[in-house]
Amino acid sequence: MADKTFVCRCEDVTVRDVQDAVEQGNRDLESVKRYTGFGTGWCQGKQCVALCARLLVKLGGEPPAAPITPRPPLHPVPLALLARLAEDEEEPV
Amino acid sequence: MLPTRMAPRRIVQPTETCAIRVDGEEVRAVPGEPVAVALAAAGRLVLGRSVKYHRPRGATCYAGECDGCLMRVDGVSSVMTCTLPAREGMVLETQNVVGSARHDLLAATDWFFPDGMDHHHMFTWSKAANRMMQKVARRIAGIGKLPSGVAGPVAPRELSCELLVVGGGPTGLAAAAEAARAGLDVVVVDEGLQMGGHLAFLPGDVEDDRHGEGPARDLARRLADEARASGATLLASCSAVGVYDARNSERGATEGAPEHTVLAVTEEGSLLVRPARLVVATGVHEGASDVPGNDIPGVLGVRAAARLLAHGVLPGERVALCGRGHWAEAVAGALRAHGAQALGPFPLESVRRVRGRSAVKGVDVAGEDGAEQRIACDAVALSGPRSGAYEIGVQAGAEVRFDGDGFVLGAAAEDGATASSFVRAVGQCAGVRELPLGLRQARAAGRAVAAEVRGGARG
Amino acid sequence: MTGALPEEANVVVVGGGIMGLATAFEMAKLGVERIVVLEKGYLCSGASGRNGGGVRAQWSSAENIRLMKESIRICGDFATKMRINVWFRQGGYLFLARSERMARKLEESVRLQREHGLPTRMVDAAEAKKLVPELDASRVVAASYNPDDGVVFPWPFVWGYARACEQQGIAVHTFTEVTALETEGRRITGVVTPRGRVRTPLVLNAAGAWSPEIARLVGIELPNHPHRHEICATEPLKPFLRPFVGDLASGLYCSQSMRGEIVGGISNAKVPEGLDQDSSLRFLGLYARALTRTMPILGGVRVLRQWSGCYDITPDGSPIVGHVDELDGFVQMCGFMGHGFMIAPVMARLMARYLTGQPDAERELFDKWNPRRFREGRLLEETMILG
Repeated sequence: MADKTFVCRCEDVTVRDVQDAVEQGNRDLESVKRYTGFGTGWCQGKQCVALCARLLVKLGGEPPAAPITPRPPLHPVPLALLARLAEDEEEPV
Repeated sequence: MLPTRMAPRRIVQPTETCAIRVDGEEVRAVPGEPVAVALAAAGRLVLGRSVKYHRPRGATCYAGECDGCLMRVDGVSSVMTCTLPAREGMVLETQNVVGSARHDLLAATDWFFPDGMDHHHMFTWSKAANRMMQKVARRIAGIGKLPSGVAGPVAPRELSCELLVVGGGPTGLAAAAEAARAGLDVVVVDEGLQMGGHLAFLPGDVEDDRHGEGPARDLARRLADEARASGATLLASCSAVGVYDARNSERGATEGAPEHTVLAVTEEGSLLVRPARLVVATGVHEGASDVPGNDIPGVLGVRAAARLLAHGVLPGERVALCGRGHWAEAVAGALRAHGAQALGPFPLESVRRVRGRSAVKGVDVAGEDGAEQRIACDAVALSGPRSGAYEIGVQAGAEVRFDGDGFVLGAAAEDGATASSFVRAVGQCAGVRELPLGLRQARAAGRAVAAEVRGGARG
Repeated sequence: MTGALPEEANVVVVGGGIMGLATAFEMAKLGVERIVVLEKGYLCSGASGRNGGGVRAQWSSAENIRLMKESIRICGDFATKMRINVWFRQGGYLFLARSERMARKLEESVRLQREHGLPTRMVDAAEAKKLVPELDASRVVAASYNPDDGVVFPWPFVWGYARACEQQGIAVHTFTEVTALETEGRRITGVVTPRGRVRTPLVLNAAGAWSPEIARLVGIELPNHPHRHEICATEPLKPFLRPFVGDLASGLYCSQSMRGEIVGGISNAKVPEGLDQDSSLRFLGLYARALTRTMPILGGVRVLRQWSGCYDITPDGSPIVGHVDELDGFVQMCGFMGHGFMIAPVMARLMARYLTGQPDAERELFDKWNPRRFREGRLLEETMILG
């Protein structure tokens, strides 16, 4: 049995998943991200975006113009550390 | 209980240790060293299970960039143990297992789906089956559990500075030193436990822009000292996590105030930084390489191997180096110096698979004639193509492009200028791979920022 | 779909979000041929790919209650009918009231919902705490709960419709922006894109927050406007939160996705209108405060990422649906106030019947929701809007 090859460890996405996504008609990085879930886990793509971009090119796609949108926070942040960022505004009841 | 002793071992015997508990067992750690390093030194490489297939997983980067080292620590789920300093009495628990990290009942999922799981289309043939599948899927979803206690809200601290440098590696430190020397109020943040970036862990020598060849670690230290002596504030264990447009993000955002707010976080709280300028020196992500079995515990990035070595821990007795480059050579040299075997380096394309399950047993490598060779080893250090860490730069307004290996920020080779007057990008994140060139670019960026801010340019 | 644009079509749908795709699919099922769907980005690039996935029948207007009840039914069948998992999970919706005033408003809506056959009921703070043990019930006056409401994963819902469209022979073209609409006198005659033009007598404006821009191409000013709405997801946790929790006062809402993330958002009144998909710190602050007050144990849970999409806001909180008086062949299907996703499955069926002239019990909605009401000053009211 051939072992799995992971592109995104956080979400257990394999090279094969990316191939399937491309076969299903997903030809751009954002679409492949959504179809496979790569880059949506703990590391938010730090480990996998470049590999997925290289795979997409290898599978016949255009070189991507940009990576997936880097969304904040770039490292997971506890809600408690964010809960006092907007203190000028009262919470409506 | 299973033997927990595996490949890694300490090559430097610590003078002082503390006790941490892992799933009820005691592990000795060096106070202040990253917990994940202590666990590796104790032979504990399997730190958790993967989300879908419940495969054994362990740390791969030791640099706060992957999910491999997540554990529940003192009642809080999903803590990155590779950036967490060891302290006496810490209580660690494995997450996402039914059973133990070594023997997880749900590991069967990996066998049931040898070709992967088409989760979009499975069990869509009957409503009853679909409902059942969803019930099971929900039950086994997620990684961590709710915290065991309430963490109350923490007020952010405001930090004012004229220049914020993100990344305390060599180029970030050089830019900070120049700008601070010119009189700017400079803060450097770095997510690592210490300054110096990856350079602080590189075995052997490097060439810099001023002194020629010298030990990499000395250079990292010297640059940090230089930045500090110039008046820059260096904050380790502090991650810049987002750059926001201050106009629609902020309390008290007013006309003429800085246009960007950077959110940075430490263990204790969050920092709101409103610099006039930003220098991004975030380096590269080590990134995944597409080798079958690339997630087996014991497979790690070559820079991660260097980090273990720098902490006095040998990653393995027989380490296969896959992929070439300066780091692979330096790590091979260090391994040999400590009496371990460094196999390879093998070109990455020739590596057919990593063998093993909970631990690395070997690699299969194709020779020039195409014939596969089985090579026994207990660790694999991968050195694949790398991508610039573009995230902060893009959020701050720099442009980004694909260079065949990964993404790099668009910045002027001479001074790091980008499409946005707010941000400069220097060093490897901007595609400058040679250290002397990166240092020169960074110093020029620091001077240019100082001239802009002091010269009364738009703030 | 790649390949050339057809030169001619019976209908061109502008917007490949769930509204446009579902309507195209429903029209094809009623026998309409040569349908083209044009999407300027990738599938899921707009609000259809950015929303929280809530599907509820707890509303304050009779028509929304009626329609969403049907949407819930469609969601329940979607995975097996369309052969794609949308992870519809009926954990119920729990609306919290923190004041007597809000409790009375909820009671009124619950009465109406029960008249329409929903099992919604008012629950007291103690029962709310039973439904969500992590809740700080001391801040809850009362709540309403409908166990049938639920959550879907939005992306596969969109792909499901897109694939079904292609199976029906509909041409779905992504990365194809409509840059002009062609007219002759008072008739629409075609759409223009950088990839070519398509002649057509009928254009359906299903461009969501971008629909005013589409209408502006022919000089029509629609009264709806885009408004950024932010949302975020936490680290994936083992399942603990069953219902979707909403608070109409602060606009806070959250639910636990099938992956275990807590996904939610909140109102942010200070956002200026406009097509803005940026993320803000203010949102994180408002959301984190409201969420950790509602469920204090979440303080130690980490936010993984934040993003935003655009609500498509109308002056009276009701949608803009039907023909415009100024131009023949230009039909609106927009202004869905941030709940377009949940209403789309049923709205698409109604629109398909309306456009093909089939009789339908809900036909009067097309008069009620026609954009001419704004000119005539006949504004409607829907108050149970989150975010």
